[in-house]
Amino acid sequence: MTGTTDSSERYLDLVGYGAVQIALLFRDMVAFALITLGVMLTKLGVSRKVVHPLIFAQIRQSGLRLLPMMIFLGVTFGLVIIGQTVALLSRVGAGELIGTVMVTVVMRELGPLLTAIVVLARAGTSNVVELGTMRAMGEVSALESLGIDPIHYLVMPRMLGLAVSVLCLATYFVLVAILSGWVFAFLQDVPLRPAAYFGRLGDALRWQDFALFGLKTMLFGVVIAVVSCYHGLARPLRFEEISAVTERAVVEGVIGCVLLDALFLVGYVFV
Amino acid sequence: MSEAAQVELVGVDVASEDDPDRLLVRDVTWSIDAGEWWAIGGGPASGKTALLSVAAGLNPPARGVVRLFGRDLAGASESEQTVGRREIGFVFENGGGLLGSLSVAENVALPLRYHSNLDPGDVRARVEALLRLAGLERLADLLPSRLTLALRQRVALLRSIAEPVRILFLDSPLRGLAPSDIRWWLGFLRELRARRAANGESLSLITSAYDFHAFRDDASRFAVLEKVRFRVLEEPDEVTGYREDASPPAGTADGL
Repeated sequence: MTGTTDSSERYLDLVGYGAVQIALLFRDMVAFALITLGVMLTKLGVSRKVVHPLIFAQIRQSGLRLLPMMIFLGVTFGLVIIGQTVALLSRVGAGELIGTVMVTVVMRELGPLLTAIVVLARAGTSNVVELGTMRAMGEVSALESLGIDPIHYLVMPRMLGLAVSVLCLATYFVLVAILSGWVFAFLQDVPLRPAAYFGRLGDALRWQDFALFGLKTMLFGVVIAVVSCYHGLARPLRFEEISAVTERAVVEGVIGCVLLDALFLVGYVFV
Repeated sequence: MSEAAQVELVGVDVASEDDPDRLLVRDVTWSIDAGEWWAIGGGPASGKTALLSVAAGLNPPARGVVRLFGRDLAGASESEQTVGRREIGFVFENGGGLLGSLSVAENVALPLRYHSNLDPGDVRARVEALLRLAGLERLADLLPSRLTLALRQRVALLRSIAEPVRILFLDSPLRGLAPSDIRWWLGFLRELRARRAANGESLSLITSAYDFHAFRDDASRFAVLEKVRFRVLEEPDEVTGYREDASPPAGTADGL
């Protein structure tokens, strides 16, 4: 009996310890995000000749370079899923639901989330490795010694760049997926004219969808930037720790994006 | 507190950056006056880098007060700290912490471009002049990874003096260098101080090393880190008689 109590207490201790660690990590990340936001508000125009090109470089690296891959995913996603859905809905006589299904599935949910996960997998991980290496090589301390705030020089451009990149990539993804979906339906001889297809889509769209799409995708970019920069920079790193830290960042980034997505679900219900 | 003290540490404890619970140096009281050249001796892992980082205001002390140019760092605003840091140069060991993604010229230009509104042409001219000073103008477009450790350290030195600093911290600048490189460094530092003096300005140097051999003729003040203590050597005999192998690393049973 005593043994059972001991083991259940140990189990409770373990769960409690884990919960406290998660709460502390969440607190630290929120603090990191708020510090970056503060730096963004106070120093956006400071040293713009140095920092603004870094923002564009980040958009190039995490946005433009991922565009071919997102277009490829958009085309395949459109052909495989949307095309089939459109064909199916038309055959069962539920063609009027096409717009609603497309807006819900593509624009609200899968488009932003899939884009965020692709950006996290590519740009987020490269951020952790890059910043972790800089930290391990003493480059971050060197920046501080030059009077250059690492949050201003390293984190702010990444946060802005990733927010813009996820927004743009998700937009392209949605557009390509919708177009290729129609192409697939057309190839399957579904009697759906382009005007009717896009008309139904337009009927189902509200301005709130655009606003929430923009907000959600940009916040996904912010989450990816916070998680990746936090893990790369927040504490002294040794080279051998970088791969483990990158794995953690990916897991936490995915969880962060999914939780944010769930929060937006509440928003969609009320708006 | 001395009138001219540029850096002052009072009752400072210095902890390891990796493990804040491990104290590397205890109860440091140290005053650096304008124009002094300090040589800090100490064995491996004796806390030289950590002490220099705290004295330069890069890391906070575990305990005690650090004043830079008379300002207590603990109470200074971020902008005051930034202004203070611009007057302090710091060259890290093992290649000086150059940014790997920027070329040699871009590294040297970084503090100028970040802190001033100089035209790109003026920045380029100043960077070229600095590189010429160290005979590195041919390497301007190379990435740091293409350079040897000794050359990277030279570039880091140029980057640290790109702005008109008043204090220069050099963390083990001569470690692992060939005799010719050591001669170059000592000559360059002497000339730098002489140029400043000719303009009526002072440049304080704080250099660390395993022993004082290289700095014996140039440094004006000497101190050692041994047994987790910071001790200023006042007598010339102590300086000539100091050997780093006499001091065990901080954190070992003997050291504590």
